[in-house]
This record gives sequence, C-alpha cells and structure tokens, in this order.
Amino acid sequence: MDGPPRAAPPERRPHRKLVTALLIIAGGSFALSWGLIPLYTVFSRDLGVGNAESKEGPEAVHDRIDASRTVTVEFIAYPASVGNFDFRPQVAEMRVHPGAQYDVDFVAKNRTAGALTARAVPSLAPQDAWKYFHKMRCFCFDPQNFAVGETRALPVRFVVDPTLPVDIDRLSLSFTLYDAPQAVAH
Amino acid sequence: MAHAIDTAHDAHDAQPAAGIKRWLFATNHKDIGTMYLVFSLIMFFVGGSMAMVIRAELFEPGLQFVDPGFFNEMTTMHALVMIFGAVMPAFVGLANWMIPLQVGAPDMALPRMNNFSFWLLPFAFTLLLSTLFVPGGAPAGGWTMYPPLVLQFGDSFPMLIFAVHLMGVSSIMGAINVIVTILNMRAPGMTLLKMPLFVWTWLITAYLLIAVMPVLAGAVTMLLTDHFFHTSFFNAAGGGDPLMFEHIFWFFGHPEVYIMILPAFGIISEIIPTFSRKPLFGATSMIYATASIAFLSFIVWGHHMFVDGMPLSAEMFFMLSTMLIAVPTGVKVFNWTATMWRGSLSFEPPMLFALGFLFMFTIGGFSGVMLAMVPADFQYNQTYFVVAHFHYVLVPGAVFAIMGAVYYWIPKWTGHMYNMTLAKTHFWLSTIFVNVLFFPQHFLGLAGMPRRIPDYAVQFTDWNMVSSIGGFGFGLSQILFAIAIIQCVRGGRKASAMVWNDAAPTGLEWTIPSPAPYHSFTTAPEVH
Amino acid sequence: MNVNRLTAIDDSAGRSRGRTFRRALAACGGLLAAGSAGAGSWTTINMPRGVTALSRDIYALHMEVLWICVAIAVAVFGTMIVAMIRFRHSRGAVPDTTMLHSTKAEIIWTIIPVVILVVMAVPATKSLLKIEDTRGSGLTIRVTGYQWKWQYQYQGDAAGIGFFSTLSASSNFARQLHSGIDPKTVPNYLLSVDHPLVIPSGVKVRLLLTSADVIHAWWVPDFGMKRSAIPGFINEMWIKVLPGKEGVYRGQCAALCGRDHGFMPIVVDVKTQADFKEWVAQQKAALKQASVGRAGGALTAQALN
Repeated sequence: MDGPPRAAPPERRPHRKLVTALLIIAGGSFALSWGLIPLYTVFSRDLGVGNAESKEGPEAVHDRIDASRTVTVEFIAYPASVGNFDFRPQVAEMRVHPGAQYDVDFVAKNRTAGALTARAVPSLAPQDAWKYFHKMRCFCFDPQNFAVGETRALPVRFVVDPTLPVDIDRLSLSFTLYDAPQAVAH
Repeated sequence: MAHAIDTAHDAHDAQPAAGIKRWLFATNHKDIGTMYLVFSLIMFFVGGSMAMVIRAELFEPGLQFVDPGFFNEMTTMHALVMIFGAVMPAFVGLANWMIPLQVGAPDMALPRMNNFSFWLLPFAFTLLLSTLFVPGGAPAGGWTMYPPLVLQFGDSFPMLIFAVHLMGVSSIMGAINVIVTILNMRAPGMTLLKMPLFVWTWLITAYLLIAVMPVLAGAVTMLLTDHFFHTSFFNAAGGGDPLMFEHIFWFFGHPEVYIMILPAFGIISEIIPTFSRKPLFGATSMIYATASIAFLSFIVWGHHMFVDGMPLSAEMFFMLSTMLIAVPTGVKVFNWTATMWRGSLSFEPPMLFALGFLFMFTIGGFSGVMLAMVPADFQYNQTYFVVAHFHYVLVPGAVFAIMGAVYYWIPKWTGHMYNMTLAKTHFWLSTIFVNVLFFPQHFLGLAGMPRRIPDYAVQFTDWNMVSSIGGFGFGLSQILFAIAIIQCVRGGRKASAMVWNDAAPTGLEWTIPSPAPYHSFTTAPEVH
Repeated sequence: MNVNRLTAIDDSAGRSRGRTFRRALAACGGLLAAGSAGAGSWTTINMPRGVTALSRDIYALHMEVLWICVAIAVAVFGTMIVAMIRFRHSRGAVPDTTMLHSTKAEIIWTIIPVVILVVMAVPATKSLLKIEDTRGSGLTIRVTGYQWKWQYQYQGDAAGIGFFSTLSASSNFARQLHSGIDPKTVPNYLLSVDHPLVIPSGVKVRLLLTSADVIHAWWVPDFGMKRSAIPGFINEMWIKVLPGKEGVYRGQCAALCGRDHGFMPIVVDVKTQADFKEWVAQQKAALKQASVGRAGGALTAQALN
C-alpha cells in the first residue's frame, strides 16, 4: 500500500539457505531418477523380480540334486526382426531335476548376405522363477558374431534351484535375438 | 536461478506499471497469479476442444471425422494440456494470489523467479501445441509417453520432451517459491498449525513437486538419449527394459496425481467451513491425513502396472499400499461431512462446487478402491472404467475445486460480486453434464471397451452416444464460466472486505479490502 | 486386404469365419426381429461373468467390492444429504461452533475403513494366488503382438501350427474414414479376425506373450485376464475355459500401440478337446501337404503378411 516498506523487508539470507536446500532436493531427485535404473536392477536381481537379467558364473552351482522332483523347462526363440536370422531351440522342452546341471543348444543361422552380430536378451516366465533359474553359461552373456551364411549352435548351461517354489512346475526360457544394427548401442 | 533470490522486491510502486510491461516484467504476486489463472483458463478451453473432437468421433461407431492417428494425437495432447496446462497452473495461480494473503506476506518470497516460472509456460505450450503442425503430427503415444511407442514419432518427439522439461522447471521454481514463502514469510504469530488448510496442502504439494518433477525430467531425458544418442535405457535390444520407463514414470506419475488433488482438498477445507458457518472439524487430523496421502503416494506406483506382469509379492504390496490410501482420504471426507453436521449451511456458488466435489470425488475414490484389487484390475485396467475413474477425481474433483476457489475468491480479486444466478446455472449444468459424460464410461469399461480407441464395436454405441452428449453439454456449460469471470472483472455489485458477510469466512485474506490492494500486508499483520 | 489364402491353415480358419459370420447374421436377424439392433446395448453395463473359473472369481470380487462401495456411498452421501437438509441456514439452523474435533469419532472412522479394506483384500488375495498358480498346464501358445495384428504359435503337441490374426476384411473396409458403410451392418464390427486363435476347453492353456515392436496387451473380457506383451520379454497368463462353454469369444488389444491400436482384435474359438484334437490333426495334415518345413510354415505366414 502507500505506507513505507517494512523496516526489515523479507529477509534475504534465510531465503538463500532454504532455496539452496530445496534446489538440492530437486537435484537429488533428478539424480534419483537416473539412480532408479541400477537400483531397480539390483532390486530385481536380489529379489528375483522384474525382467532384469542375472548374469552368473559357475559358482552358483548347487550340489544338492532333487531327483524326486521334475520341472519342465520350455525353450523359446524369437528372432527380433524377420529375415536376418533363423533362430530356434534344438529341443522344444526338457524335463529337469532341480539342482542338476543341463545343457541345451539354440541354433541360429545368418540369412543375410553379410556378417552379423547378434545379441540375445533372455527372459523367463513365470517371473517369480527368475531368481531360481541359474545360467552357468549362456550365449546371451556376450554378443555373437556370424559370418555370411553361418549356422551355429548357441549353448546354454543352467541349473534350476532346488528351492524353486513347489507351485511352479513349468518354466519358459526365451531368448530374443536382436541383430547388430539394433544391438549396436554404444 | 540463485541470483533471483537477491531480488526481494525493491520497487514498491503503489501502482502497477502501465501496459504490457506490467505483465511481462510482473513481479507482483497478484499479477502473476492472474496470469497463471488466465493461462490456465485458455488451456482449459484448448484441452477442452480436443476433448470435443474425441467425443465427436466417439459419438457413433465408424470413423466420421478424424483419422485414427489424429485421434491419438488428440487424446495425448488433451491429457498433456489439461494436466500441465490447465490444472497445475490453475493451482499455482491460486497459490500466487492466496498464499501471501493467507499467511500475511507482502508478496511471494522470490518475485523474479515467480515471473520466470510463469513465462516459461507460454513458451512450453507454444512448443507443445506447435507439434500439431509439424510433419508427422503431434505426439500420439499417450501422455504417459511409454517407449518404444513414443520413440516412433518424428519431429514432435524432441519438441514434446523439451516442452516437458520447461513445464518441469516452471513447476519446480513455482514450488520452491511456495515453500520459501510459507516457511519464511508468515506474519508474526502465524504458527504452522495456525495456517489455513489451503496453505498447508500447498506446502505438502510443493514438496511433492520438488521431489517428483525432476524424476519426470530424468525419465524423458533418458527417452531423448535413447532416441538420439543410441543409449539403451528402455531398449531391450541394447540390454534395457521398456518396463523400466513405466516404473520411473509412475514413480513420478502417482505423486503427480496427488499434486493435482491435494490443493483441491485445501480449497474444499476453506469453502465448506465458511458456508457451514462452523470451523473445520478435525483440522489437525486433516493435515496429518494430507501428509500421509503424500507419503503413501510414493509407494503405490506399481498399481498402474499390474497388467504388465509382476511377481506376486509386488502385486500384494502395491495392492495393500494402494488400499491404505483410502483411509486418510476417508478421514478427509468424514471430516468435511462432520464440518457440515450441526452447521448452518447456505448454498452460494463456491459451496455448490465444494459439495459437488464432495459427492463426485468420493465416487472417483470408490472406483479407485475397486481398481486397487489386483484381480479385478486385470479386467478394469486399460478400459473406460479407468477413464471414468480418473476423470471423476480430476474433473468434478480437481476442476470443480478450482472453479469453487475462483467463485470463492474472485470478489476479493476484482472487488465485484459476480452474477450469482449465472454461476449457479454454471454449477448445475456442469454437474448434470459431467455425470452424463463420465458415469456411462464406467459401464463401457466394464462391458469391455478399451481406452484410447477411435472406433468401437457396435454394442458400445448407446452409452458412448450418451457420454458424448454429456461431453458437449459440459463443454458448452464452461462458456458460462468464462462469461461469469469476464463480467466480474468488468464490473458488478461492490464486494465488501469480508465478501461473504453473511457466512463465516476466516483468514487474513478477508481483513484487507476488496479488491485486494496492489500491495498488501506491507506491514505484517499480527495473528493471535 | 489382409486376407491370405495360401496355406491350409487359412482355409480352415476361413471356414470358421464363415461359421462365425452365419452365427452373427443369425444373431443380428434375431435382434432386428426383436425390433431394434441396439436393444441389448443399453443393458450391457457390467463386467461379464465370463467362461473361466477365474473370470467368475474376478466377477464375484468385483460385485462384492461394488456392493460394499454402494453401501458406504449410501451411508456417507446419506449423511451429507441429511446435513444439507437439516442444517440449512435458510431454515434458521444455528451452527454449533464448539464442535472442533472428536478423537473418538476420528479413531472410529479410521478403523472402520481399515476393517472394510481387510474384508475386501481377503478374496482379492485368494483369487490372486489362483491367477499366479501356473501349475498343470496342458498347452502353451506363444502370442506375439505386432503393429497391428497378433501372431499365434503353438508349442508342444501342436507345434508347427502358427498364423497371424488380423482384422477381418469386412470390418477393415467399414472402418476406413468416410467409408460410407454402416458399422451396424458389419458382423462383429471390429471384433472379427481372419484367423481366430483356437483353444480347447477344460485345459489350462498358457499364453506366452511378447511383442515384436511396441507394448501391446492381450485381453478377452470373458476370460477375465489381461496381460501386456512387451518387446524382448515374455509375460505369462493362462486360460481354462469351463467345459460346456465352447464358442467364440472376442476381445481387443488393450495397450495403446499406435495408429491402428483400435483395429487389432482378438478372437478365440474355444472347441471341445475332441474337436480341438481334430483341428490340430487337420492343421498338421495341411502343413505336410503344403510341404513346407516345420519352421517354414510360420515363416511363410510371416512373409505373406
């Protein structure tokens, strides 16, 4: 109004402090959004949720084989784009005992007129089974190179954890094979 | 941004600058509040006309007016414009006008930042709306921007991302301003617990904004780098996961839902006591309820993603946490009802809108509880049942609260009373049509109509027709709102300082004359 | 437009479409005779009970929660209405300004909702456990979403059978902008396809969903379930249609997947187990006859589309 401004107008320094704190919070949540990705991956791997891949080495081998129990593992191959690859599992499914180690081959053929690099993305249904499915060896761990017309077996070695919940009797392991132009990410 | 802090307004002209400069260089909270509210009203009509296109196309089966691609552009843009252009700026506008008046401050704490945060919006929305004219058209992948779909859109995609960034920056600055004003500039004697509920809900909302808008910014930045710099955050081919975007998006998205409703709770908590002539029942528990809703909003995001498949434990967690939100929300509804109980009620336009809110927001709350049930959600999700649910909480919820707030405070802003008959007509037409518009959408969703489709099987014809009629009616009724506002700005019966003399308005805003002088509370009031 | 007539699969599906078409025509005729083609449309306002045990569980849960909500609504709205009538200023009501809060009341209306929510959560959890129990499945079908069609590939005994399922030609003509065709004259407008998915009743059929491009969602309301198809990953759901409920069931893609999201319907032809076996045998014979390799069948179908 027409009166003079207050003797001590809205203090400046306290504002600065608070604004700085608030900007830090905002910056922190921006950082959090990027941090959510590794967090989610860690969370997924440890709790066996989500689609995050768990890469594992041979140390995950279980010595206890539960021969009294049989679980069916189904193998599924998706070539991501039609035409570049023929891609299929060598066997459609396998009956396995939890704890025992099994090998299975997928087969891919380069149908293009050039060399290709492929990258396979693994996925498992049901999701709850992810943390009970251990891949000792997998072609999905590394990019795969294919010469012109090359057909190659792509091996997977896996163990189904003996602690797999009893309400799961069938697992579906799928690989989606992406070819180089899509996979060259970085 | 930091230098804006040093600009606690020095220029204390008693009168605003003349002409366009008053608005371009505005640092006065009332001017900026007015600009926000006008901007929001314009966006309400822009987004509304898009809704009219949608309802016209859905009036009967078959494609009569628009191509399916354009239909998707309309649904996407309608949502973006309404959320970021209409509802959020309206609340920021109300905050600008009312928070300094309610806490007894001479202005917002950071007036130049205030100016900047407003003026980002017209640019953001020019950018967003101009995508309608670029080759390939506007974004058409839904406001949720799920990859990989959103990555398929051409020139509009980077424009969308940049517009979202601008809106985000604007919101964050607005929120910082609100928090600093509330925490640092309250009149002597106004302890936190004495603050009006509108201020309280805005304080909590501002924290939500600061916490989640940067998350949205991060998520859309990742989309941008996936599209242009060949990263693979959300691209399975490169080892990413499309679902990751949904997780991050809804980590923002659910608090965002409460950003759009908490200030509405505050408004309703102002209006109902005034026209019940009785103090708000359980004011402290209202504050705690608001805070618990805000907290819970961070741990329920998974309920948007049940159909994407998640482990049983996650489904259980998100179902139970979501159901828990019904408890504090219920407390609020019960407290409002208790405020009315043994009161002395009169039904001026703000009260009508508040009561409309009370009934219809509760309906939206019920469908929300239904949606929380995971097994049933497998049927409800992605259907018109969801559309009905969130429109019930946003239109007769948030939008009615905003309209109620305008009818409640506009005499304070303009110094004139508005045409009560016109406002009441606006209320009744809006209420009738909003139900004709959205209630049948529950039926459509339950009967199996997916959302976001431009054309539908013939068994959905009748209720879509009803819904469209409601849509046109609701859209046209809003013209009355614009008329009532314009008339009230231009003239009308003189409003007193109390405005609602006959009722019992409380709060510092009623102690200054109407219209509120350009500079108010230059001497801080004492609160006892 | 998308009608393929090259493999035997297509022929048989074509026959089944013909049957569907006749059935639909008969239904339309019946409705027309009843006076109005849209007569049933006003009354379809609720979730279908469906044809699986799960969809019935879900329906029961939905109705339970709905009625609880209606009961609460009556109580809450009733109180509000009573307040609005009894405590009107115009009737000289005097406000009781001492009524500021009541810890007792507030505790009560915190606890009652919690109890009600627990009552709701119990059946929800029960049916959730059933939904997530995938044991004892008899058939696996891979479902792949494309912009904008579905691909079905059978596993196990029926391996080798696979085909695309696109919007039927009649709907596709009628749905074009300014087509001039009244959708009401098109049988099962937007809900018919060239090759429906065929499944047996009484068997737990697992669907493994994925997508070749963007996120889609597979949904048939009568089966009660909906799941997203996400590129690069597989998602699982299962259906077990109650015996005696054989027939044709229809649904749509339920996740916005681009321009023609509204035009990639799902049609499922549920057969008895005997009929299904016969169908599989027919399909396999046709595959052999067409002398295309095991994987070739799917590839041929892909190439054609």
